[in-house]
Amino acid sequence: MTLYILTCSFLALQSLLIGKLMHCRRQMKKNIALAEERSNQVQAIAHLGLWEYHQKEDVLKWSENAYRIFGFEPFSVEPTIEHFLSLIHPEDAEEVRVNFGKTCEDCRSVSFRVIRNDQSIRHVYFNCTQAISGTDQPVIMQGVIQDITEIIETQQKAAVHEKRFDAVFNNSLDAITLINENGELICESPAFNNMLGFKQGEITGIKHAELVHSCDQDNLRAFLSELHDNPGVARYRKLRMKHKDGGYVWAEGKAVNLLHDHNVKAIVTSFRDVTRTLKTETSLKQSEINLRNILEHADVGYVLLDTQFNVMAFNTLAAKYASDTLRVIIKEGTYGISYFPVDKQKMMISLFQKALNGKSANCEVSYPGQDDAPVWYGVRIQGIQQADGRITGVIMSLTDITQRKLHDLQRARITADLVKRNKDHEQFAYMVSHNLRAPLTNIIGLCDLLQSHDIEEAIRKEFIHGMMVSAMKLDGVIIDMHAILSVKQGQEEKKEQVSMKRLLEDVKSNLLIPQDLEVKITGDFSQADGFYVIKAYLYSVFYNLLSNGIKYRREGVIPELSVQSRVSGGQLELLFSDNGQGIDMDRYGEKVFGLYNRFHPEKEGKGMGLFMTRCHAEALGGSISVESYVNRGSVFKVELPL
Amino acid sequence: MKQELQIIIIDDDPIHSRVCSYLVSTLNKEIAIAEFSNAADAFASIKAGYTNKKKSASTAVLLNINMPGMSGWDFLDALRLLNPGKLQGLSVYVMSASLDPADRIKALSYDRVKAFFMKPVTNQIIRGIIADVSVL
Repeated sequence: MTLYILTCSFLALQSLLIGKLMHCRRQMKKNIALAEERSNQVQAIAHLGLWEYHQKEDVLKWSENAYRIFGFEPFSVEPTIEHFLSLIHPEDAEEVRVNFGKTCEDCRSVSFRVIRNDQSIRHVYFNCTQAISGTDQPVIMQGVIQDITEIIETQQKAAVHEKRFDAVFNNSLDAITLINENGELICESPAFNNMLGFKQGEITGIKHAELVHSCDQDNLRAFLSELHDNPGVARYRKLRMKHKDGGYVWAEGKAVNLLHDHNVKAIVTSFRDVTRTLKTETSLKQSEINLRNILEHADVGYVLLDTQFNVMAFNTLAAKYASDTLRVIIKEGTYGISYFPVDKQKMMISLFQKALNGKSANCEVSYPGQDDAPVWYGVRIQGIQQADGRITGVIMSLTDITQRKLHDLQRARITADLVKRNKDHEQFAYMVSHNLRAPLTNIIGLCDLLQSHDIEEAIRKEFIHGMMVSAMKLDGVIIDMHAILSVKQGQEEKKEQVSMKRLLEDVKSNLLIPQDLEVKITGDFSQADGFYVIKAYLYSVFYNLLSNGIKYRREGVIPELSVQSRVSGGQLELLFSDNGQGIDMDRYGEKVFGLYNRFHPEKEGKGMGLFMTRCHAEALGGSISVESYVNRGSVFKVELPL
Repeated sequence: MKQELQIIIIDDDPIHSRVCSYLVSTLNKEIAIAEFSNAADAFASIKAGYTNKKKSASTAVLLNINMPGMSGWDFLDALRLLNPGKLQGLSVYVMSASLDPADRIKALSYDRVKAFFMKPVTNQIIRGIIADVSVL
């Protein structure tokens, strides 16, 4: 374009110059050479050449630069009309021939191509600017010829560029518009029309604000002011635009204020229809909110971890459990394993790893809760499986099962108690049939024999004595039964503060120790002495265990007995150790504390001592156990609740 | 030919043992009687070959169940592990004060046990046992 303007101005300058030259030819002969040289320089710069045709003489003259335009060295050939015509591109020749005559008469111009000797093609502008005539007939025709190849090529390039731009503009998915300083649409891409349901050109020239949803007008104003304040900078926005059908679409994109650019003088906008994306996003968000709600209101604590066991998400309940029991505050994006106690981390890693490999795990764990009472959790660890089966993390669900666990424990206690009572019951039935009935059958048998007349006097006396012994034995069993039953019923008896040190002294003074027998009895109550208890029962425990220790001593070994008290796990533990004969636990283990069970037949005894000890320990809410080795001794452990 | 008979009484209750031995002696003075107040001693004696002193002898063991130390059940279990050759002609008669039918069933589950008698022991029971053993 610039080049074209330049050329035109030179053309005007040229005509002026030529006119002057003709008029002053004779007067300014001295200056001719100089002027010609200048003329030649100007011609070369402007790609201009001059021509002159003397019709009468049929002489054609070219200026130096005219030769060059046609591809010749200046004055190297003799220019003729035929010669000139032969240079014209065959496709343009006819037009030139037709217009040649007219050219001079009407002072018209024509452009055509010439083919130079080296076969290169140049675009040439040709005109006839003036005719000088002596008579009415023009004698001399003259004009300029100009090489316009570069102009033509530039124009062609611009045309290609514009076509390409149009192709992009028309085929872009983005809805592109140019808006002028008045807010009117200069042009809009087909995608824009398509987005809003208009035909091409239908909305060109209207105010773009009319296309924006009424609810987004403030938004638009703010956007425009932003663009106005930041010329040349892209700004992004999302707003609703009116569709031709009365609905609206969500458009998202950017705009650049190029009003200051003289070549553009517009705000350029490029937007896309994001209605569907937004709808999908909205419904996704909604389902996420729904899911959150479900999670928050579940009775289960959930923690989601990624494949590296980092915490991805968790619900409030899980956070509460973590803070209540592990005393930690869990945070998203942190390493999940680190919240567990060090001694449990290895196990958790292994469980999580298994879950990643598709194996879920269930376990029950207990932690000391806020008031140190144990809190139980049912823990389930499983992989987070995607629709395509891939496992992309681990989900850990925690259920507070403390209540259930307490019930379980209570049930187990009740069951154990029932089993024990049942066993007691069986034992009682056994006792009735064996221990109670045996002396009675003796009495019956002896009575029967005494009824016969031929019985010797000595034998009769023996049998009467036997009856007496059996009756005494029967009475003994009944007394035992009463003792046992009164223990079972006597749990309401009064408790009192008992010093075990004093109790031991009391028991020691009442033990039946054979004369000449040395016995060592020691007591260690440094850890616990005072004890609130039913004194008679504790006395029975001390008395029975200590008297057993003496009774079942080893021959030739001085009996050494010790009593030690200690507090462990909220219980009072009493340890009674002896160095006596011991009990064959493999053989009698189950029977040690049974009624009328005896393990040393050579010693006098009913098998009541340890049974009564157990009864009394249990009546105090405790238990008794024993560790014993034959010929080494026994350690009885009595555990009583404090 | 008249058979040699012997009776072993195993009971921790001396009165019961005495009644048994008296009844046996009133019925047949020829019968040898051995009384054991604990089963372990009786078992040791049998193991040592007490019963085989006379090859033609038949032996009746009157066994109590509920005894301290080795019980009647322990005795029967131990007997089962002995070489049957040593026990030729030996029969066991369980005598117990037990009212529990389970004890009778358990006692009779031992091949060696010929009968279960509930105490008190009577003339009739002893007569029956002697007759039973004599037939063998």
